[in-house]
Amino acid sequence: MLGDRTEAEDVTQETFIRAWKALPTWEPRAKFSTWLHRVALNLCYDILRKRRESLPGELPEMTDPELTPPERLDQSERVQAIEAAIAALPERQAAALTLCALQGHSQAEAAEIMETSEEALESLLARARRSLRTTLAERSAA
Amino acid sequence: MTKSLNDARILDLIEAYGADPAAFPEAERAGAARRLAEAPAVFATALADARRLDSALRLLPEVTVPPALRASLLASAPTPKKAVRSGAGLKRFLPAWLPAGALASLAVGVLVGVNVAAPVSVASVTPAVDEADSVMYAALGFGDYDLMSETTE
Repeated sequence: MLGDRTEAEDVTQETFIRAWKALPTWEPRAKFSTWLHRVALNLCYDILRKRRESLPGELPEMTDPELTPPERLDQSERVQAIEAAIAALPERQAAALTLCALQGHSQAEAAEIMETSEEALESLLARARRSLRTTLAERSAA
Repeated sequence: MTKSLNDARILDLIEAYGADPAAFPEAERAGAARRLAEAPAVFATALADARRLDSALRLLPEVTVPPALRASLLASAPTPKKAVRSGAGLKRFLPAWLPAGALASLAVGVLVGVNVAAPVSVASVTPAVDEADSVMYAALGFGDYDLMSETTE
């Protein structure tokens, strides 16, 4: 979701710090892993919002007219293009895609982590995939 | 439980979950797979589009938890103290109770900040997450997970 390993590791660290603090009073209303993912996801949302505030509208990779079409990119560049496309998704679409398509969570688990319904999750996934298809097709055509 | 499906619903599933019926919601998986096998031409275009995106997502490298991060997470665990939720057999202490493999599986899952995970099946991720949950529940005193059989760091 963040597209930045260092920030992701910071989020992971902070998530576990919060978990350790919460352990003495934690009650099993949800699976522990679900709760942990929810904390991590909220931390990611915070970072993404701060990024938007400090860099209003800045998503240079998504609008770079000089980008080589994916067919001619080497694998590393293709990966970067896909990551940039995911990073440009609205945060909840990116979260849904990351949880289901990349991490293999079931619809029920992902919906619980995101505190939404399975129907809403499906809608987020469909919109995410449509956006990605469009973005990657535009890159191909560029 | 299975659901009956019409073709429009199957197209919606492909749109949301991709070309592999294994990624569809469990209740609709078998019915969708059956219909896809019966009438491949009806879904050919949608499946081809979805497969292109699935293939692109598969290019993303697998997330691994750096050893230094895992060590740091273990080091950040609270001072050892007894779990108190139930009496029998709860001789577990932090961080000694924490099997590194389970922690790593949770940490990989939590590393949602990096969207560079190879697409995986639900079946492959569930046992690791379940194990991690069991470990946490046991530490909290909610289960009978045998921590003594696990290797700790």
